[in-house]
Amino acid sequence: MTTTTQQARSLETVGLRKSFGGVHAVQDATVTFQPGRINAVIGPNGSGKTTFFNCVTGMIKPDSGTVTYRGETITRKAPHRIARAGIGRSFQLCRVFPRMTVLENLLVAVRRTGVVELLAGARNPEEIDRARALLVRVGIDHLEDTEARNLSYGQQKLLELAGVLMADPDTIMLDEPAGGVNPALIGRIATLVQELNAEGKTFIVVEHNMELVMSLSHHVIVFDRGRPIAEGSPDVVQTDPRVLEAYLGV
Amino acid sequence: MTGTLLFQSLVLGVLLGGLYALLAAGLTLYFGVMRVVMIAHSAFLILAAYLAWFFHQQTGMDPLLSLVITVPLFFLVGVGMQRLLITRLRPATLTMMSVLLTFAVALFIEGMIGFVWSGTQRRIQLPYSGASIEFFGARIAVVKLVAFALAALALAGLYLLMKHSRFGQALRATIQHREAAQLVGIKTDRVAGFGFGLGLATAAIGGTALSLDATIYPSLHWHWIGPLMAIIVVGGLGSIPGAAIAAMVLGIGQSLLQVPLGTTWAQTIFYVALFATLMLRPQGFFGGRLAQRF
Amino acid sequence: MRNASDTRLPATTPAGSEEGGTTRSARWSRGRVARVAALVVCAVLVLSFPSMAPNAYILSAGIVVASYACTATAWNFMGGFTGYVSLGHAAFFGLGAYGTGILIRDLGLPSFVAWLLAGVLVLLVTIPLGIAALRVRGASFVIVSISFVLILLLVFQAWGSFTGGSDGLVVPRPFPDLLRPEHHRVFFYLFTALLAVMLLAWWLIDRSRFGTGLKAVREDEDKAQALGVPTRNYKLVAYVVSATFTALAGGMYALWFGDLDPIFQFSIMLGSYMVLMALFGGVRHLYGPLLGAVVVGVGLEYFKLEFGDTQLHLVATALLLGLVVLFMPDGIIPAAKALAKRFGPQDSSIREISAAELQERNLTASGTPSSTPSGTTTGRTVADDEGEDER
Repeated sequence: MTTTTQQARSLETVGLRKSFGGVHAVQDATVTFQPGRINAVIGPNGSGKTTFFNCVTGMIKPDSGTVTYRGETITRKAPHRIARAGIGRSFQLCRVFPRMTVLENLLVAVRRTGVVELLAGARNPEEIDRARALLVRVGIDHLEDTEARNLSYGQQKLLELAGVLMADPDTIMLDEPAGGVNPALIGRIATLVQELNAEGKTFIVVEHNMELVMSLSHHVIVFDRGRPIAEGSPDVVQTDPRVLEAYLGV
Repeated sequence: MTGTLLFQSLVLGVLLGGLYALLAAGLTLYFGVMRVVMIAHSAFLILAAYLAWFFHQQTGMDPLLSLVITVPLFFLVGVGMQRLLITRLRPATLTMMSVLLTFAVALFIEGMIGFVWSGTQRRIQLPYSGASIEFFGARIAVVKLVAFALAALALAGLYLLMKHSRFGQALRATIQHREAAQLVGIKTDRVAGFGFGLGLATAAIGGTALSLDATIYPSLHWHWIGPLMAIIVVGGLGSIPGAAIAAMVLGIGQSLLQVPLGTTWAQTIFYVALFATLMLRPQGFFGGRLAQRF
Repeated sequence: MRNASDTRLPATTPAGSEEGGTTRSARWSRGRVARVAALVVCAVLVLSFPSMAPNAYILSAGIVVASYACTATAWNFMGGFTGYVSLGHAAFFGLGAYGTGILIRDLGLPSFVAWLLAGVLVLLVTIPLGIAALRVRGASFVIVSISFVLILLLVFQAWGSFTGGSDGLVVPRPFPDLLRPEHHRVFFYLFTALLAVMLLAWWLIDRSRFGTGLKAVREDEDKAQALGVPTRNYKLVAYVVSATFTALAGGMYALWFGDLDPIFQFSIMLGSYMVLMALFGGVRHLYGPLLGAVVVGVGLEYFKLEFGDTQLHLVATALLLGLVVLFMPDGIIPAAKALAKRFGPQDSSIREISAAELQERNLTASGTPSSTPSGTTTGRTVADDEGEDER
């Protein structure tokens, strides 16, 4: 793969800014994510990681700056367009459709266009097969007909991940995948991320669990007070004085 | 339009805007503390006006004196409503269901007013009802001035309470960030109840002011809730200063438009403003940023 | 503890779910037979109502209830699928009614052509209105929807030269030669036919991919968007469909009743009836609004007959709405199901709950903290127990 195509495939932001009232949640965020790898975004609480995520995925409109994906500008596009461009995301506190069954939760994510396709029955056998395969993959296939609100938190996390996969994105943004989850499940999620990455999915992960970040990611970007202050491989970042300063407040 | 007429409309607009501002402040309070859009606010307004009329009818005393009864009464009703009704709703659907619940309360009040006092139009006749004063060439009815003074005093009192009392601080903290307020030891449930009570107290004062000058009938509240809702959306839900400014601007606008267009069409300014707000700035024009989410 | 690669082994679970599938479909077809039979019985009852009605008053009350059923079902295209509560659907009812009347009066169109055309006009008007209203969610949307009714009431009262104002607008009867009872009878069937079309459309959307998207909006709009659902357009379509059907119901009412007054057509009460009836029956169910309309509508008509034209019907409506919102926000259909579940432990719909309960039990047994259990710890056990449940 040449450098140019690699660049064209990547997700990058230039000078992204967002403030709420007087608070600069994100300022001058210029970040390039590496395609085909597991990127991690870390930083102390309130350093603007989630706002940055929301700006990239269109949930929040940035005040200025641009977001490009595969060379195409996606700034200020509606979230569903960004999703359809190939960027899937999870939410910080896991979000599923509580009163739909596990299977229906996945069927929401199937892309449809055109009147005929939209009015066709929702329970298309091929799509159901694909959804079931994903449920098997994350390990909750036995709960197919259970309403999502009856799942445990860990199962909801797995369901959310399966839902993101159902939309078949190239880039997957996970907001704290290990938050509020027991160690065994963290291990499972990490394995899934690695397998999916091996299959070619790009990951961008916001995470507080340093152990996980350091073991999982190829490339780490550190946020502090709304802007990226350092980036590099996990080893390099770990020893960067600016990062230590941000975390320890020296 | 002559200069005097214009000036007269302007003054009337300010007087009307004052009343709108007080009532919109009440609506904003409910929304602030509980994320509740209180459709019954204007029904309580009309109820207070009826109570003032009834008080005057029975005792022959000035309807303003009925405030002594209605304000504490409404405050208690507000606290009770928050404690007994609103908190029963599931948090997940609170905003939507509370609209329906307060809508039901509004219907209930309208129906009860009609049942108890019949649908006949009522008006208070006071010795000073016909009096008016000259103000730089504009003729302003005394009752309108009294109503405005009442609204202005109540707003000023509310402002002082919010800004300078411990309770006001707790209230503002609850409005801004409920969980954080809880963490610093504020009993947010109790504060929310009092916020509700205060909101209804504004309806009591507003209703009494209204009764001096208006012909009242049970379904009148629908003519108030529309403009008030438009005001708080234009002001940005959750911002009391925003609501007050929007109330003034739209009150004056309505008053000015009344001359060329007549009363009915002038009322549409509120809805025009509402739609303009939705199209241009759904988060409201004056500060609040909650509208889109709630 | 199993790891992720274990879960992809072709273990017992796929087989188990296949087995579950066959039993499910068998049970479903039995349920389907019962459902079709119930539907036929209900349809026969409804269709024979005009001949069973003892007098013209009861018959006209039946038409009023049928029109309530139409409006509540039409409302449910928006309220039920997307969860957006519109308290101002009377606006569309009034527009449909007045549109029909004015088109007949001014253009001399045949009644039912005017009716359809009025529906199309409302459809077109609703597109910009919906774009504006759907820029906000939740309570703000409710405010906007109420303002539709209030504004139209103002305009239709003030613009007397065009709308007839408070003097009313007389709509010529479509069948001038019919006697009054015959006229009622025809309109009862017309309303029923309109209702049938709406129910069919609702059913189609409910089971479609589009419907899945709409329901996702109801559950979590941001999440749906993040999964690629164009929520704005979906909501707009639902809104337009809902408004158009409401307008068609309004137009039909105009043709039947023949006399329109802004106070009654653009009435807050009418909009609140739609919400009350749909909620009462259950907005997630095809027949919910219809059921609500029959119960509440019959109640309202009875009330009118018994207590006359007092303000008490407002009080009754208010109390009922308050009770539904506080105690039965999902409506009577789920409430009845829950009741049946409690008294009939072998009911098939209990399965879901038992799976959840089993999970809980297994969790406590395995000692995993219930807030963060791993799906797999309990996975196989649940599947097995479910298998037993099926047999």
